[in-house]
Amino acid sequence: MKKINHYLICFFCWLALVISLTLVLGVIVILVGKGIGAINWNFISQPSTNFGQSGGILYQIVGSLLIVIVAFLLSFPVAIAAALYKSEYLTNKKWQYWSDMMLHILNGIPSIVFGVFALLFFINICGAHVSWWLGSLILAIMMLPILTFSSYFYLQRLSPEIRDSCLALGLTKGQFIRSFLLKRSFVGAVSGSFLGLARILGETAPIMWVATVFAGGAIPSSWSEPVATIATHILILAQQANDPQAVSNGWGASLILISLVFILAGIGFYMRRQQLRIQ
Amino acid sequence: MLKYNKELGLQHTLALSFFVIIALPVLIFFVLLIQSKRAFLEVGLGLLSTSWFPAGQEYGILAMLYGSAVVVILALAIAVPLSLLSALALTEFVPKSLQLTIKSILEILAGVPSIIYGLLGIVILCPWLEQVFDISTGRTLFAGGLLLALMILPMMISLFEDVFSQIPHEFRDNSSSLGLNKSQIILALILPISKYPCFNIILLAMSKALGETMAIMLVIGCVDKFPNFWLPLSAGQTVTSKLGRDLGNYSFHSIEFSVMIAMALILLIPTIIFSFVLKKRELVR
Repeated sequence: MKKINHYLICFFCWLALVISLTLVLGVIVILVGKGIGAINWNFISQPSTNFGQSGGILYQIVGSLLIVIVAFLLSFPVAIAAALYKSEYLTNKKWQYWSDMMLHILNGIPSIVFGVFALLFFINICGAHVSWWLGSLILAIMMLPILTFSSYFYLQRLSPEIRDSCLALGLTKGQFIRSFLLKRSFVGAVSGSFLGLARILGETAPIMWVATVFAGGAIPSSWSEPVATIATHILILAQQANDPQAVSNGWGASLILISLVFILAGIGFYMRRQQLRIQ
Repeated sequence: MLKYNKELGLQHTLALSFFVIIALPVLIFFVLLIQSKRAFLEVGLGLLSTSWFPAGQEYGILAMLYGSAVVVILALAIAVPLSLLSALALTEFVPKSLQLTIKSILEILAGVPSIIYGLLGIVILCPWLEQVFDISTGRTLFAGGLLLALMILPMMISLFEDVFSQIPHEFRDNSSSLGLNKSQIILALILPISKYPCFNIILLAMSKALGETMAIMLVIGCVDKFPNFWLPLSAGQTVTSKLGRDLGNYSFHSIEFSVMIAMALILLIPTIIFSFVLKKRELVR
């Protein structure tokens, strides 16, 4: 009886692992297999025509990168400053608890709620027009908790001897931060940035009402123009699921998006592993 | 004097960014609350009806809440046992070097954007369901649940694996020297020790599943009716798919719009509750 139980448990564990890996890797195999046929130089270098049914996705790639990079530039300094404050100045236990709480909540808010908030706050309350920098702004907010935590935890791993010797050399807290901790918080935030960028690059819901157009996007020439992104482009193509040409272009766009995401996430995880190794 | 100012200036600059960040969730909550005030005051208990028909002044959101619940429960029912057993196999049976490789792959795969799962669902999963169950359209609650299970699977395996591999190796060595075999170690040691962290992971997966929009929106069918109670094989609507599909169609200041904002608020509340529970149990990420 004992033996049978043992074999049953082993069997089910292995079976589950095989099923999960098949499913998860199956997704990738399908994406690569279907997407590789649609990608060629024209697909990357041409603008799309006829609602994405023909042509490439040049404008979408440019739009995605533009929104995401500006979002990164907006959130990086704020996150570093917040991590430094939380790590160095915030001594009150209660405030520590509540700031942790708020960062966790901000990290866990569903992306669609960010979209609703952006539509309400930027467009309805503040009266802004649909434009790409609103998308950058809301994605920057989504990135903030990841960057802040990443920078904060790296600061916390600083050994107390270094802190003590710096202060023993007569540095004030401000000098210590400027000359030493700033660089360190930077390093911590960089690995978080890659993970954060990987997360926001594929987001559709937060930006679909405030920053994007579904057809006829172009490279923006001013602040107040909407753009098209790869993710919204896939959304349009997925809605024309009966048209083989559109679906094929959708697979191509997905493969490009997923390659970008994987490269960013891979670099991020690698850097985090390295950081966990050194003090 | 100058030095003093510089010190204080730095502290205040840092404080400003810090308080901006922790004020953001509060701001989001209150903006949603103020905008949905009208829905709660004017529709009130009418929200708790099953029919959504704005032209006839009916603003019931029960169908969407039901859809969300069905989809999330379905996804968890599939993904929890599968990921738990896989993680056990990964920590207990798979060799160490292979374990790290699989774990890295899963971590990266957890970041596949939801819109890509949507495309996958609408092009491959839905036609497949149509064939298997012989139904006219594959865009059903069932499809949503399956797709959601697939989406949260890599994340859950990787989190479970974290928990199991944190159990010290001495524990395992001691148990096996007492004569327990691997499956007995799993039942008597691994699972009881990691009971609470595993519960937290399920909570985390649940909050992620609740907020998923783009993939669900494409495969759920988007019908505002209360679905057929017995069969999840009917088209339905979740809170997120309703928001994603229709929010842009209503004008600001209309009562429909306010009801939609109330639905976003309802979506926000589990996130807040889960954060409190997880923080209390000290499982960070």
